[in-house]
Amino acid sequence: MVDLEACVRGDRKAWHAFVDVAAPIIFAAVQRTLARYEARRDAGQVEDLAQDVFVRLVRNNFRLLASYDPSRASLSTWLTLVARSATIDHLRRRRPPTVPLDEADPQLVAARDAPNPAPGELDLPPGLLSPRQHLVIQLLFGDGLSVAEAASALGVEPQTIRSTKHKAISKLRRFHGAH
Amino acid sequence: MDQSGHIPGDDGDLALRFLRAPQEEPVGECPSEMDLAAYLDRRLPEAEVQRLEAHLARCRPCRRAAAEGRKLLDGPPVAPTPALVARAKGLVGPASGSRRQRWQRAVSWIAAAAAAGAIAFAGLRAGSAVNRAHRQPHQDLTSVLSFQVADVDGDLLSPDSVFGSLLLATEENGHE
Repeated sequence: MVDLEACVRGDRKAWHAFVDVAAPIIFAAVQRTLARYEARRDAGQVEDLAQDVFVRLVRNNFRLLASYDPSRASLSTWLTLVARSATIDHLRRRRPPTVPLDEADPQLVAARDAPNPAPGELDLPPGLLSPRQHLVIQLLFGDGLSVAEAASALGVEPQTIRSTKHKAISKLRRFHGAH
Repeated sequence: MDQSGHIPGDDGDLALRFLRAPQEEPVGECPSEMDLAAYLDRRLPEAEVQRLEAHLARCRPCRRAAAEGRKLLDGPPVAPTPALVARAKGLVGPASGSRRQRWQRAVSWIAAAAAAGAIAFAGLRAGSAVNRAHRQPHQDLTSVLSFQVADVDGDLLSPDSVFGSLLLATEENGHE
């Protein structure tokens, strides 16, 4: 059991216990994120980036660690996301500005640049699809994920994705038919 | 539209038309890691889930963060290198600690240094040939000691009270 309150007070014993729990989680997240985005990596690089995550947690009198709220999410989930973000930040700093790591969402770019509405396109009312339906449509048709991949991304069963997609497409067809 | 009222075109065509259409609602602020963690752990209230998913539908970096976060969570922890564990543990140790602990250590150091300074001053005074009529004790003291002196509670002492204590110490030792 990790005593986070003692950790952020600078208690050495509590901090050591925290490191024992957090290090495998952070190390795994950094290693896998690097594997996803970089062809080459070495153990030293993973270790340095993982250490950077710990530095972020203690910096400014443990401000980041103190921001964690155990009532909202598990420590492992939060640490995984913090470690991923730190790794992405590092990779982004290293890349030349012409090769963005997270390119702008093409939808947003198109929406910004296109006439409103574009010729032949429909002016959609807000809330035509629910946020979940919109997200599923985006994952399947915008991002090109398979049903299994979309299900994994949302943490639901594939049948849920198929059902949500079907309802969304039906709504779109009804809307197009009426207009 | 055909005679049945059905719009021709497959699901993909319809979906892409929808995705390309301008959206009236703003994208909104990107969620924090805490918000995203709560979402991945399924601990967000339903209204917040909808708000967050509406954002995810239109923000690719956040969509990626959510999808990749979930994938990362599916994998097992990885044994870290012993060097990492040692480095991480070393970030908090006897030399660091809380702000209160560091202040207490600083006060102890200053008190010890003041005591050493008092001994040095007493020795200097015993061997000094300075005319007592021209003595300017406060300035002598501050020129000997390059730091201010605090008591054990951390309150800084005025030169008067410090010098008074030192004078008493030297008189007790038999020096004038």
